[in-house]
Amino acid sequence: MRLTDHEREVIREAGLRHFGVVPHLFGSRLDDGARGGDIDLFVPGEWPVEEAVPRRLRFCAELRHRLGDRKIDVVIGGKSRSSIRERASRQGEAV
Amino acid sequence: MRLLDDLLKECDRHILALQEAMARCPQPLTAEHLSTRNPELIAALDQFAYRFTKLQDVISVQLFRRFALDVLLEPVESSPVIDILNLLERYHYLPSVVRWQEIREIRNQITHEYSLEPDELIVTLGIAFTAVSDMSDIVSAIKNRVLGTDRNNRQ
Repeated sequence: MRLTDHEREVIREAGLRHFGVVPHLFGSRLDDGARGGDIDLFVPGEWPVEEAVPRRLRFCAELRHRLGDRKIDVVIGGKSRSSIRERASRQGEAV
Repeated sequence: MRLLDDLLKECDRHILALQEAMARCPQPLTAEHLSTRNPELIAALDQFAYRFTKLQDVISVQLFRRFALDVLLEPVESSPVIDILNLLERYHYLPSVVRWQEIREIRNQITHEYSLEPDELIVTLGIAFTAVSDMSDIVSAIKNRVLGTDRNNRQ
């Protein structure tokens, strides 16, 4: 998992504050042999969209504020299925 | 770097276009409205997303820095954007840096609307509609200070 201890701590704290769960990392940052890449996060659960969208905005805003301006994509678990949710849920490892 | 007056006029044009686009959208907007693929609605939403992005960008990248330099007389020529945001929050021209970052996230989401499910897009647009008045208030506060009508002692 290519995240610094500080990044992991910030993501865990923000995940617990905004969603009550520890986010999972998926995508290229799981590959220790790769370089760079977006930080792809998955928040497990079955969040209704009315809650998922504002929480994701606040969560991303806090991460941007505390980690600096970088590319972070966040997928929130929901009732409807999608290929990105299935991939995130299958690959993801708790941060 | 462009003049403050020029930047404020550009912000006004974007705010007007945003208000016009919102007036052309049914309220409340629903996923059923989107599913009709009505060309008028699509044009209004495209106008909204385009102007929202332009307004957020011009405020963040140009207006804040120019205002801090010319009016607050702060040496921010080469400061990172985050430092300017913190400065404007201290002067109370920005209600909160985190709220501004949230508006930036809204901008990112509506720019990449193809990655959102229709129900996510509806909720995001509802939040974006409210963020227009937040941005408009910030521009008004800056304009009042520039025009010398700011009676609050923000310093």
